[in-house]
Amino acid sequence: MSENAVEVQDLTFQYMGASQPTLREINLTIRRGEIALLIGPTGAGKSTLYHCLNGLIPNLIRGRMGGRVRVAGLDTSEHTVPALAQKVGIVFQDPEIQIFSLSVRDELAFGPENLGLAKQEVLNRIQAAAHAIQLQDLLDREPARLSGGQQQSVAVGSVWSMLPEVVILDEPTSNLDPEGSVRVLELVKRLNQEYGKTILLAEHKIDEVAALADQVFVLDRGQIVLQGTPQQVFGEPAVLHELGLVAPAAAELTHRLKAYGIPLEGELPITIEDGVKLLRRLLTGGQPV
Amino acid sequence: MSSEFIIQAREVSHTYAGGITALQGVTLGIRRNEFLAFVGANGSGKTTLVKHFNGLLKPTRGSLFVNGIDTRKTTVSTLSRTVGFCFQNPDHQIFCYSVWDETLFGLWQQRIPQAEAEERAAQALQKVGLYELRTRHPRELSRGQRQRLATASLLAMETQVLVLDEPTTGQDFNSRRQIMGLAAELHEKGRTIVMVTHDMSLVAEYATRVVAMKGGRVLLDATPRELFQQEDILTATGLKLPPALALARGLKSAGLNATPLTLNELYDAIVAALPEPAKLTDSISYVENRVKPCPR
Repeated sequence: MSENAVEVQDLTFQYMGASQPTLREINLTIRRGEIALLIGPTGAGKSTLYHCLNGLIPNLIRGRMGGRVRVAGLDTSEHTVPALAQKVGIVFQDPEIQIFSLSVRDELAFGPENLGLAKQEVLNRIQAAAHAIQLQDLLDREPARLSGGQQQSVAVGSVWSMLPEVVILDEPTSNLDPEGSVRVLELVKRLNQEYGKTILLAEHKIDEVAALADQVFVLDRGQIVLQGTPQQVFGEPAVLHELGLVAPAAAELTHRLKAYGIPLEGELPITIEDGVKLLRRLLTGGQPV
Repeated sequence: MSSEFIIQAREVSHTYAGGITALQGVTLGIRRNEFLAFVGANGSGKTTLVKHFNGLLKPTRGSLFVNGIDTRKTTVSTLSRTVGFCFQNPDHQIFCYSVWDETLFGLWQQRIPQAEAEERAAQALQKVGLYELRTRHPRELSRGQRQRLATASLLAMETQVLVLDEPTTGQDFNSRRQIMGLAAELHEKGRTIVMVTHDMSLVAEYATRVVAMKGGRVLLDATPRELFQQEDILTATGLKLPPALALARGLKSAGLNATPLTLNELYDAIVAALPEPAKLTDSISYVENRVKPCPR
């Protein structure tokens, strides 16, 4: 097994009937067990990229694809959508669109049942998924009656029960209140740290997710325009601003103060805590408080 | 009834048919030209309350007046001439076959002459960056774009009061600025804006007044700055400080005494608080850099 969970080489895709490609010359690698953050303005091609990763492109969605995509070692142009569905799962932005069962249990069972797995295996996976999303006590509840954060957790659980190696989350906290957002981001962290899942996360709430990421990709008009560690990518404020994107607040402020002529040494702060540490030193003239 | 308030709630309670009481005796007056934000956790009653403003819901106890008219004694279509309502989920609202028709629909309902209606629709779409897509079917748009379409359709109607339920969820930074820019422009023209949001940065940047709700009651009715100074209210409502304030709070013990609503305000506060030698370095670049404001 390759140590890379996702390998994309020179990927170009043009929808049938479109006048130009939606994705152009994409190259990216996500190592197993990493959390990669994908940011970009709306319409940058994020959804098209997900569909390339779960094999809907080129298997079902028509258009012209160039380059190669390998996910969990499988070349997407050589494997079927059902085979790839056991390797890559997508959690959409709006759980209302994704969830349709009348109980949490049925929702978690849907994927494994469709794989034609034995009953005991389906039951095992429901238990394991419920445990992962910490909704063991709510298996008989109707998803529509759960809170937004719980509903999004159910959506994650329904993907989890397929035991994918790679989980794509498309702005999973968009429709949630702050409490729900915290719950879902904790779950993302747990899927990564405890279960070793590779995560590709798209999110606009940059302050809340930047610190989770091992790698950041910036997509604009179908191309990767920046990639690297959070420090590297958020260290390019001019490029980000040009695209209408911003770095986390601590990094933005640091850039501004540096532009003012203040020597702020050390690693670019990404979290509020790191920002506070750096600025404390500045305000107290280097003296510990 | 005092005409000072365009919307006035008196002891409004609302119990849904299933028996859940979402509002418990809310008394509140909204003045003309306020930019008011309702905040609070999911289930705190924010959306239930604002749905009373255009008569979608009627109080099960108490009463609610719009322009002095009791909402129980009039119709939603009459109220909709005064209060425009933009739903949180654009798919609950959009139904026309093109972006252009969707934007025009409300204007037609108001019997606005065609030429003016088209003018307003075009302007609203341009402001949210959707004019080029006006011949598209709304389903061809991304969710973020559909949300901007729903907001633009509402804003084009230029009603006296605009209610925006979570106007910026799932929007990138530019789109967020477009939507809020449009709302701010109407506010400047004298309209009353009411928004429901979880985004504390939005509250900090735009609202003139904020009402924090919990369990169907009003917990605090104040300015954004006052809200952010009340730790207990923030904790009780599960709200997070905007990043600028979170940074400022961490710097309090280092001598920074400020309640900055935006990063720009925090920047100014830090520069003002710097020890002298640092302040002297490069004051020219400071002036230059002030010309271009920080984007957030």
